[in-house]
Amino acid sequence: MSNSESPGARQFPRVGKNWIRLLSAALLFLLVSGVAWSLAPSSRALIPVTLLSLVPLGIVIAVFVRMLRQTDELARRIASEALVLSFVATIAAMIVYPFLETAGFPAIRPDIVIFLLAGLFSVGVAIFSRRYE
Amino acid sequence: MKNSLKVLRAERDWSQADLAERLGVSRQTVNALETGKYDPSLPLAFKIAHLFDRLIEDIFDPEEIASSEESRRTG
Repeated sequence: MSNSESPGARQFPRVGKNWIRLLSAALLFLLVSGVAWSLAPSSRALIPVTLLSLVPLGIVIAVFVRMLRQTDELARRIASEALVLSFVATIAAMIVYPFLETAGFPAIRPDIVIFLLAGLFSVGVAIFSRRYE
Repeated sequence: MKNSLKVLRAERDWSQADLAERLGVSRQTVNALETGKYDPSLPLAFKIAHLFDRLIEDIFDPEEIASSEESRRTG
């Protein structure tokens, strides 16, 4: 093998940097949305802070799309399948859970959706990666 | 889809990682291609054919596609 750097070899360190960006933006989003959550409904800062939380969320989306573009086609397929799983399962849970709430299950915070999406996406990546091993 | 990727790679004494680097994909992709669990996109198939200096149909078996489509139709 030659020591010259191929395009494929360059891809993976950049993915690592993107993970740091993604996690930083996600943490920032959680921080700002946490501040918005703690504000009183009558607070004048509620609308600006809530809108401000959209900025890190936008960064999360941009970095995620960039990460998908930089990975190879199999990784893109696995990510797409995992995204479908996480979205469909989350939508199903959001439809079913209100019925369970009326049956006595505890009420959940709406921002649990983010963790559900992320968790199911991770599970989906693990499941679909095994299919191609 | 069956393919002769493993044979072609072995002829050149390349590891999966070597081939992956030459194709600009991950080693997992090369492994999935060799085991027939993943069919490459047209650009990647052309890249593979170009790398091994063969035609796409010399590497990937179109008969296998026809038979798998047929078995899918008949259930």
